[in-house]
Amino acid sequence: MTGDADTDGMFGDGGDSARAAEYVLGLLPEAEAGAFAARIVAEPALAAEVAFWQSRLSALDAEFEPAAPPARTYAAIERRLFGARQSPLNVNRLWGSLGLWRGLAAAGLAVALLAVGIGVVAPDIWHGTSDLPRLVASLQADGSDVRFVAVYDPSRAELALAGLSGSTNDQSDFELWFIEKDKKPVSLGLVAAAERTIVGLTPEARRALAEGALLAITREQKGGSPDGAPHGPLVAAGQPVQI
Amino acid sequence: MATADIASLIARTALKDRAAFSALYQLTSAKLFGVCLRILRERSEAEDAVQEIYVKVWQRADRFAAGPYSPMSWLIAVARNHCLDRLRGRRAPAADLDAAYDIPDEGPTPEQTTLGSETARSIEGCLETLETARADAVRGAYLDGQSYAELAETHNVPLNTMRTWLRRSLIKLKECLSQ
Repeated sequence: MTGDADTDGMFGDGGDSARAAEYVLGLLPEAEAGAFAARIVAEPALAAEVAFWQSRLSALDAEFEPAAPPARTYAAIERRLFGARQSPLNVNRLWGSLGLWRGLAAAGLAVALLAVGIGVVAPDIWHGTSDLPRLVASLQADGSDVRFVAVYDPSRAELALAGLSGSTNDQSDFELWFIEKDKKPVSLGLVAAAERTIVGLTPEARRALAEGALLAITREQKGGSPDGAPHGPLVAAGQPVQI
Repeated sequence: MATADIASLIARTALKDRAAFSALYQLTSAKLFGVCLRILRERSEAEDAVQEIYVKVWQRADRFAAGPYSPMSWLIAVARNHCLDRLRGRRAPAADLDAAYDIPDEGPTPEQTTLGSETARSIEGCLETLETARADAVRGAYLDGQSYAELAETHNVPLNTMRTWLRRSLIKLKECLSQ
Protein backbone atom coordinates (compact mmCIF):
# COMPACT_ATOMS: atom_id res chain seq x y z
CA MET A 1 0.00 0.00 0.00
CA THR A 2 1.54 3.32 -1.06
CA GLY A 3 1.57 6.56 0.92
CA ASP A 4 -0.53 8.18 -1.76
CA ALA A 5 -3.99 7.57 -0.52
CA ASP A 6 -5.83 8.26 -3.73
CA THR A 7 -8.34 5.51 -3.37
CA ASP A 8 -9.32 5.18 -7.01
CA GLY A 9 -8.75 1.63 -8.07
CA MET A 10 -6.74 0.87 -4.96
CA PHE A 11 -9.80 -0.28 -3.05
CA GLY A 12 -11.93 -1.29 -6.02
CA ASP A 13 -15.53 -0.50 -5.12
CA GLY A 14 -14.32 1.75 -2.34
CA GLY A 15 -13.30 4.22 -5.02
CA ASP A 16 -16.73 4.43 -6.55
CA SER A 17 -18.45 4.47 -3.18
CA ALA A 18 -16.37 7.39 -1.96
CA ARG A 19 -16.95 9.17 -5.25
CA ALA A 20 -20.70 8.63 -4.92
CA ALA A 21 -20.56 10.20 -1.47
CA GLU A 22 -18.51 13.10 -2.81
CA TYR A 23 -21.10 13.52 -5.55
CA VAL A 24 -23.93 13.72 -3.02
CA LEU A 25 -21.90 16.08 -0.85
CA GLY A 26 -21.26 18.34 -3.84
CA LEU A 27 -17.51 17.99 -3.63
CA LEU A 28 -16.82 16.84 -7.19
CA PRO A 29 -15.65 19.54 -9.59
CA GLU A 30 -18.29 20.44 -12.18
CA ALA A 31 -16.93 18.45 -15.11
CA GLU A 32 -16.37 15.37 -12.97
CA ALA A 33 -19.83 15.68 -11.46
CA GLY A 34 -21.36 15.82 -14.93
CA ALA A 35 -19.47 12.74 -16.03
CA PHE A 36 -20.48 10.97 -12.84
CA ALA A 37 -24.12 11.88 -13.37
CA ALA A 38 -23.96 10.26 -16.79
CA ARG A 39 -22.55 7.10 -15.22
CA ILE A 40 -25.31 7.06 -12.63
CA VAL A 41 -27.93 7.00 -15.34
CA ALA A 42 -26.13 4.16 -17.10
CA GLU A 43 -25.05 2.03 -14.13
CA PRO A 44 -27.74 0.81 -11.72
CA ALA A 45 -25.17 -0.26 -9.14
CA LEU A 46 -23.77 3.25 -9.05
CA ALA A 47 -27.27 4.69 -8.82
CA ALA A 48 -27.83 2.43 -5.82
CA GLU A 49 -24.63 3.72 -4.23
CA VAL A 50 -25.75 7.34 -4.71
CA ALA A 51 -29.17 6.46 -3.31
CA PHE A 52 -27.47 4.88 -0.30
CA TRP A 53 -25.41 7.97 0.48
CA GLN A 54 -28.27 10.39 -0.17
CA SER A 55 -30.50 8.40 2.12
CA ARG A 56 -28.00 8.11 4.97
CA LEU A 57 -26.65 11.65 4.76
CA SER A 58 -30.17 13.02 4.76
CA ALA A 59 -30.34 12.10 8.44
CA LEU A 60 -28.22 15.25 8.87
CA ASP A 61 -31.12 17.30 7.47
CA ALA A 62 -32.39 17.64 11.03
CA GLU A 63 -29.53 20.08 11.61
CA PHE A 64 -30.89 22.60 9.09
CA GLU A 65 -32.73 25.20 11.16
CA PRO A 66 -36.10 26.16 9.69
CA ALA A 67 -36.63 29.88 9.07
CA ALA A 68 -39.73 31.58 7.70
CA PRO A 69 -39.16 33.10 4.27
CA PRO A 70 -40.59 36.61 3.61
CA ALA A 71 -44.36 36.74 3.25
CA ARG A 72 -44.20 37.85 -0.37
CA THR A 73 -42.24 34.77 -1.44
CA TYR A 74 -45.14 32.60 -2.55
CA ALA A 75 -46.63 35.37 -4.68
CA ALA A 76 -43.23 35.77 -6.30
CA ILE A 77 -43.06 32.05 -7.00
CA GLU A 78 -46.49 32.14 -8.63
CA ARG A 79 -45.43 35.12 -10.74
CA ARG A 80 -42.40 33.20 -11.97
CA LEU A 81 -44.52 30.18 -12.81
CA PHE A 82 -47.82 31.62 -13.93
CA GLY A 83 -47.23 35.25 -14.85
CA ALA A 84 -49.54 38.00 -13.74
CA ARG A 85 -50.04 39.02 -10.12
CA GLN A 86 -52.42 36.66 -8.46
CA SER A 87 -55.34 38.50 -6.93
CA PRO A 88 -58.39 36.36 -6.35
CA LEU A 89 -61.67 37.56 -7.79
CA ASN A 90 -63.29 39.68 -5.09
CA VAL A 91 -66.75 40.63 -6.30
CA ASN A 92 -67.32 43.37 -3.72
CA ARG A 93 -64.02 45.00 -4.47
CA LEU A 94 -64.80 44.80 -8.16
CA TRP A 95 -68.09 46.67 -7.70
CA GLY A 96 -66.42 49.13 -5.39
CA SER A 97 -64.07 50.28 -8.10
CA LEU A 98 -66.96 51.06 -10.44
CA GLY A 99 -66.57 54.81 -10.11
CA LEU A 100 -63.09 54.51 -11.44
CA TRP A 101 -64.29 52.59 -14.46
CA ARG A 102 -66.96 55.04 -15.34
CA GLY A 103 -64.19 57.57 -15.56
CA LEU A 104 -62.29 55.23 -17.78
CA ALA A 105 -65.27 54.56 -20.02
CA ALA A 106 -64.05 57.04 -22.57
CA ALA A 107 -60.64 55.46 -22.54
CA GLY A 108 -62.28 52.07 -22.89
CA LEU A 109 -64.19 53.26 -25.89
CA ALA A 110 -61.03 54.56 -27.44
CA VAL A 111 -59.39 51.18 -26.95
CA ALA A 112 -62.39 49.51 -28.51
CA LEU A 113 -62.35 51.77 -31.53
CA LEU A 114 -58.67 51.14 -31.91
CA ALA A 115 -59.30 47.45 -31.75
CA VAL A 116 -61.80 47.75 -34.56
CA GLY A 117 -59.46 49.98 -36.48
CA ILE A 118 -56.66 47.47 -36.38
CA GLY A 119 -58.98 44.65 -37.28
CA VAL A 120 -59.00 42.94 -33.95
CA VAL A 121 -62.75 43.29 -33.67
CA ALA A 122 -64.64 42.74 -36.90
CA PRO A 123 -66.42 45.83 -38.20
CA ASP A 124 -69.62 43.95 -38.87
CA ILE A 125 -70.13 43.74 -35.14
CA TRP A 126 -70.53 47.48 -35.25
CA HIS A 127 -72.80 47.64 -38.21
CA GLY A 128 -75.51 45.19 -37.36
CA THR A 129 -79.00 45.29 -38.72
CA SER A 130 -80.56 46.73 -35.63
CA ASP A 131 -80.59 50.18 -34.15
CA LEU A 132 -80.14 48.89 -30.66
CA PRO A 133 -77.24 50.50 -28.89
CA ARG A 134 -74.15 48.45 -28.53
CA LEU A 135 -72.22 47.91 -25.35
CA VAL A 136 -68.46 48.03 -25.32
CA ALA A 137 -66.17 47.07 -22.48
CA SER A 138 -62.45 47.41 -22.06
CA LEU A 139 -61.30 44.69 -19.70
CA GLN A 140 -58.16 45.05 -17.60
CA ALA A 141 -56.94 44.75 -14.01
CA ASP A 142 -54.18 46.17 -11.83
CA GLY A 143 -51.03 44.11 -11.85
CA SER A 144 -52.21 42.10 -14.83
CA ASP A 145 -50.99 42.38 -18.38
CA VAL A 146 -54.21 40.88 -19.74
CA ARG A 147 -56.38 43.20 -21.85
CA PHE A 148 -59.55 42.35 -23.70
CA VAL A 149 -62.11 44.29 -25.60
CA ALA A 150 -65.71 43.09 -25.51
CA VAL A 151 -68.47 44.27 -27.81
CA TYR A 152 -72.05 43.25 -27.18
CA ASP A 153 -74.47 43.30 -30.05
CA PRO A 154 -78.01 42.92 -28.70
CA SER A 155 -79.45 42.15 -32.12
CA ARG A 156 -77.33 39.04 -32.39
CA ALA A 157 -77.36 38.09 -28.73
CA GLU A 158 -73.63 37.66 -29.06
CA LEU A 159 -70.63 38.99 -27.24
CA ALA A 160 -67.52 39.40 -29.34
CA LEU A 161 -64.27 39.38 -27.43
CA ALA A 162 -60.80 40.10 -28.62
CA GLY A 163 -57.69 39.50 -26.57
CA LEU A 164 -55.29 42.40 -26.98
CA SER A 165 -52.58 41.21 -24.60
CA GLY A 166 -51.87 38.47 -22.13
CA SER A 167 -51.53 34.78 -22.69
CA THR A 168 -52.32 31.40 -21.28
CA ASN A 169 -50.17 28.29 -21.28
CA ASP A 170 -50.72 24.57 -21.20
CA GLN A 171 -51.78 24.81 -17.58
CA SER A 172 -54.31 27.62 -17.73
CA ASP A 173 -57.27 29.00 -19.62
CA PHE A 174 -59.11 32.33 -19.52
CA GLU A 175 -62.71 32.05 -18.36
CA LEU A 176 -65.24 34.84 -18.82
CA TRP A 177 -67.91 35.72 -16.24
CA PHE A 178 -70.72 38.21 -15.97
CA ILE A 179 -71.43 39.54 -12.52
CA GLU A 180 -74.64 41.26 -11.47
CA LYS A 181 -74.75 43.36 -8.35
CA ASP A 182 -75.06 41.19 -5.22
CA LYS A 183 -75.04 38.02 -7.24
CA LYS A 184 -72.46 35.35 -7.86
CA PRO A 185 -70.41 35.36 -11.05
CA VAL A 186 -71.91 33.31 -13.88
CA SER A 187 -69.61 31.68 -16.38
CA LEU A 188 -69.80 32.54 -20.06
CA GLY A 189 -67.19 29.94 -20.91
CA LEU A 190 -63.59 30.04 -22.04
CA VAL A 191 -62.15 32.78 -24.20
CA ALA A 192 -59.07 32.56 -26.36
CA ALA A 193 -56.04 34.60 -25.45
CA ALA A 194 -54.92 36.04 -28.72
CA GLU A 195 -57.89 35.72 -31.00
CA ARG A 196 -61.48 36.73 -31.34
CA THR A 197 -64.05 34.68 -29.49
CA ILE A 198 -67.78 34.89 -30.12
CA VAL A 199 -69.80 34.06 -27.03
CA GLY A 200 -73.45 33.16 -27.44
CA LEU A 201 -75.57 34.61 -24.66
CA THR A 202 -78.52 33.17 -22.80
CA PRO A 203 -81.55 35.41 -22.22
CA GLU A 204 -80.43 35.75 -18.63
CA ALA A 205 -76.98 36.93 -19.66
CA ARG A 206 -78.46 39.38 -22.16
CA ARG A 207 -80.72 40.82 -19.50
CA ALA A 208 -77.85 41.09 -17.03
CA LEU A 209 -75.65 42.92 -19.52
CA ALA A 210 -78.44 45.30 -20.46
CA GLU A 211 -78.85 46.07 -16.76
CA GLY A 212 -75.21 46.86 -16.11
CA ALA A 213 -73.51 43.61 -15.19
CA LEU A 214 -69.73 43.57 -15.09
CA LEU A 215 -67.61 41.35 -17.24
CA ALA A 216 -64.59 39.64 -15.65
CA ILE A 217 -61.95 37.20 -16.81
CA THR A 218 -60.12 34.85 -14.45
CA ARG A 219 -57.21 32.54 -15.10
CA GLU A 220 -58.48 29.05 -14.38
CA GLN A 221 -56.98 25.58 -14.72
CA LYS A 222 -56.94 24.10 -18.20
CA GLY A 223 -60.49 23.46 -19.33
CA GLY A 224 -61.95 26.06 -17.02
CA SER A 225 -63.39 25.94 -13.54
CA PRO A 226 -64.71 22.46 -12.75
CA ASP A 227 -67.68 23.68 -10.73
CA GLY A 228 -69.04 26.88 -12.26
CA ALA A 229 -67.43 29.18 -9.72
CA PRO A 230 -64.28 31.22 -10.26
CA HIS A 231 -61.22 29.85 -8.46
CA GLY A 232 -58.33 31.43 -10.24
CA PRO A 233 -57.08 35.01 -10.02
CA LEU A 234 -58.79 37.95 -11.68
CA VAL A 235 -56.84 39.07 -14.73
CA ALA A 236 -59.18 41.55 -16.38
CA ALA A 237 -62.55 43.16 -15.70
CA GLY A 238 -64.65 46.05 -16.89
CA GLN A 239 -68.14 47.44 -17.14
CA PRO A 240 -69.71 47.72 -20.56
CA VAL A 241 -70.70 51.21 -21.66
CA GLN A 242 -73.25 52.08 -24.24
CA ILE A 243 -72.16 53.47 -27.57
CA MET B 1 -45.80 16.90 9.41
CA ALA B 2 -46.87 13.55 8.08
CA THR B 3 -44.63 12.09 5.42
CA ALA B 4 -47.62 10.67 3.60
CA ASP B 5 -49.17 14.14 3.39
CA ILE B 6 -46.09 15.63 1.78
CA ALA B 7 -45.72 12.74 -0.63
CA SER B 8 -49.33 13.12 -1.71
CA LEU B 9 -48.96 16.89 -2.09
CA ILE B 10 -45.93 16.35 -4.32
CA ALA B 11 -47.88 13.83 -6.38
CA ARG B 12 -50.76 16.27 -6.80
CA THR B 13 -48.32 19.04 -7.65
CA ALA B 14 -47.06 16.79 -10.43
CA LEU B 15 -50.62 16.86 -11.76
CA LYS B 16 -50.48 20.67 -11.71
CA ASP B 17 -52.76 21.01 -8.71
CA ARG B 18 -52.02 24.54 -7.57
CA ALA B 19 -53.84 24.20 -4.27
CA ALA B 20 -51.64 21.22 -3.43
CA PHE B 21 -48.52 23.15 -4.46
CA SER B 22 -49.55 26.01 -2.19
CA ALA B 23 -50.10 23.61 0.71
CA LEU B 24 -46.75 21.96 0.01
CA TYR B 25 -45.10 25.38 0.17
CA GLN B 26 -46.81 26.16 3.49
CA LEU B 27 -45.60 22.92 5.03
CA THR B 28 -42.04 22.88 3.74
CA SER B 29 -40.82 26.38 2.93
CA ALA B 30 -39.38 27.13 6.36
CA LYS B 31 -37.14 24.08 6.18
CA LEU B 32 -36.02 24.75 2.62
CA PHE B 33 -35.40 28.43 3.37
CA GLY B 34 -33.33 27.30 6.33
CA VAL B 35 -31.21 25.20 3.96
CA CYS B 36 -30.73 28.22 1.69
CA LEU B 37 -29.76 30.50 4.56
CA ARG B 38 -27.21 28.05 5.88
CA ILE B 39 -25.51 27.29 2.60
CA LEU B 40 -25.72 30.71 0.93
CA ARG B 41 -25.20 32.72 4.13
CA GLU B 42 -26.75 35.82 2.55
CA ARG B 43 -30.41 36.64 3.03
CA SER B 44 -31.37 38.14 -0.30
CA GLU B 45 -29.56 35.34 -2.16
CA ALA B 46 -31.41 32.82 -0.03
CA GLU B 47 -34.71 34.54 -0.88
CA ASP B 48 -33.99 34.30 -4.61
CA ALA B 49 -32.85 30.72 -4.25
CA VAL B 50 -35.91 29.53 -2.37
CA GLN B 51 -38.16 30.92 -5.11
CA GLU B 52 -36.10 29.18 -7.79
CA ILE B 53 -36.24 25.97 -5.78
CA TYR B 54 -40.02 25.93 -5.63
CA VAL B 55 -40.16 26.63 -9.36
CA LYS B 56 -38.01 23.50 -9.77
CA VAL B 57 -40.27 21.56 -7.41
CA TRP B 58 -43.30 22.54 -9.52
CA GLN B 59 -41.53 21.59 -12.72
CA ARG B 60 -40.02 18.33 -11.45
CA ALA B 61 -42.63 17.01 -9.05
CA ASP B 62 -43.41 14.29 -11.55
CA ARG B 63 -39.90 12.93 -11.07
CA PHE B 64 -40.43 12.18 -7.43
CA ALA B 65 -41.65 8.63 -7.38
CA ALA B 66 -42.28 6.82 -4.10
CA GLY B 67 -38.73 5.67 -4.54
CA PRO B 68 -35.81 5.41 -2.19
CA TYR B 69 -36.17 8.95 -0.84
CA SER B 70 -38.49 10.33 1.75
CA PRO B 71 -40.41 13.30 0.34
CA MET B 72 -38.74 15.75 2.72
CA SER B 73 -35.28 14.50 1.89
CA TRP B 74 -36.06 14.78 -1.83
CA LEU B 75 -37.14 18.39 -1.34
CA ILE B 76 -34.07 19.17 0.74
CA ALA B 77 -31.84 17.49 -1.87
CA VAL B 78 -33.37 19.74 -4.56
CA ALA B 79 -32.76 22.73 -2.29
CA ARG B 80 -29.20 21.75 -1.35
CA ASN B 81 -28.20 21.04 -4.94
CA HIS B 82 -29.67 24.30 -6.14
CA CYS B 83 -27.82 26.23 -3.46
CA LEU B 84 -24.57 24.47 -4.30
CA ASP B 85 -25.06 25.39 -7.94
CA ARG B 86 -25.57 29.03 -7.03
CA LEU B 87 -22.57 28.94 -4.76
CA ARG B 88 -20.35 27.51 -7.42
CA GLY B 89 -21.73 29.85 -10.06
CA ARG B 90 -23.05 27.06 -12.20
CA ARG B 91 -25.78 27.54 -14.78
CA ALA B 92 -27.81 25.10 -16.86
CA PRO B 93 -25.62 21.99 -16.71
CA ALA B 94 -26.30 21.62 -13.03
CA ALA B 95 -29.97 21.03 -13.72
CA ASP B 96 -29.05 17.70 -15.22
CA LEU B 97 -27.17 16.68 -12.12
CA ASP B 98 -30.45 16.57 -10.26
CA ALA B 99 -31.75 14.12 -12.83
CA ALA B 100 -29.38 11.55 -11.44
CA TYR B 101 -31.27 11.60 -8.16
CA ASP B 102 -34.46 10.65 -9.88
CA ILE B 103 -33.33 7.37 -11.38
CA PRO B 104 -35.27 4.58 -9.72
CA ASP B 105 -33.11 2.11 -7.97
CA GLU B 106 -32.95 -0.95 -10.18
CA GLY B 107 -29.61 -2.39 -9.26
CA PRO B 108 -28.52 -4.33 -6.21
CA THR B 109 -29.96 -2.41 -3.30
CA PRO B 110 -28.06 -2.26 -0.05
CA GLU B 111 -30.65 -3.07 2.60
CA GLN B 112 -29.74 0.10 4.40
CA THR B 113 -31.13 2.20 1.53
CA THR B 114 -34.62 2.09 2.98
CA LEU B 115 -35.11 5.06 5.23
CA GLY B 116 -36.33 4.25 8.67
CA SER B 117 -34.74 0.85 8.80
CA GLU B 118 -34.08 0.34 12.48
CA THR B 119 -31.29 -2.12 11.92
CA ALA B 120 -29.16 0.37 9.95
CA ARG B 121 -26.41 2.25 11.72
CA SER B 122 -27.05 5.97 11.79
CA ILE B 123 -24.85 8.57 10.18
CA GLU B 124 -24.58 10.46 13.46
CA GLY B 125 -23.39 7.39 15.31
CA CYS B 126 -20.86 6.59 12.63
CA LEU B 127 -19.62 10.16 12.41
CA GLU B 128 -18.78 9.91 16.08
CA THR B 129 -16.37 7.08 15.32
CA LEU B 130 -14.30 9.46 13.21
CA GLU B 131 -11.87 12.06 14.50
CA THR B 132 -13.74 15.28 15.28
CA ALA B 133 -12.09 17.25 12.49
CA ARG B 134 -13.00 14.58 9.91
CA ALA B 135 -16.60 14.44 11.09
CA ASP B 136 -16.73 18.23 10.97
CA ALA B 137 -15.50 18.14 7.39
CA VAL B 138 -18.31 15.79 6.36
CA ARG B 139 -20.83 18.03 8.11
CA GLY B 140 -19.21 21.12 6.60
CA ALA B 141 -19.68 19.71 3.11
CA TYR B 142 -23.25 18.53 3.63
CA LEU B 143 -24.67 21.28 5.80
CA ASP B 144 -22.60 24.30 4.79
CA GLY B 145 -21.86 23.42 1.18
CA GLN B 146 -18.15 23.81 1.74
CA SER B 147 -15.90 22.89 -1.16
CA TYR B 148 -12.63 21.01 -0.80
CA ALA B 149 -10.80 24.34 -1.04
CA GLU B 150 -12.89 25.83 1.77
CA LEU B 151 -12.56 22.74 3.92
CA ALA B 152 -8.80 22.73 3.42
CA GLU B 153 -8.66 26.36 4.51
CA THR B 154 -10.94 25.80 7.50
CA HIS B 155 -8.82 22.90 8.71
CA ASN B 156 -5.56 24.49 7.71
CA VAL B 157 -4.26 21.67 5.53
CA PRO B 158 -3.29 21.44 1.86
CA LEU B 159 -6.07 20.70 -0.60
CA ASN B 160 -4.84 17.21 -1.49
CA THR B 161 -4.56 16.29 2.16
CA MET B 162 -8.17 17.30 2.74
CA ARG B 163 -9.26 15.23 -0.26
CA THR B 164 -7.39 12.21 1.09
CA TRP B 165 -8.74 12.65 4.61
CA LEU B 166 -12.28 13.01 3.42
CA ARG B 167 -12.21 10.02 1.06
CA ARG B 168 -10.73 7.81 3.77
CA SER B 169 -13.38 9.06 6.18
CA LEU B 170 -16.12 8.27 3.67
CA ILE B 171 -14.81 4.72 3.29
CA LYS B 172 -14.81 4.30 7.06
CA LEU B 173 -18.33 5.69 7.22
CA LYS B 174 -19.48 3.25 4.58
CA GLU B 175 -18.05 0.33 6.56
CA CYS B 176 -19.68 1.59 9.73
CA LEU B 177 -23.04 2.22 8.07
CA SER B 178 -22.99 -1.20 6.44
CA GLN B 179 -22.67 -3.13 9.67
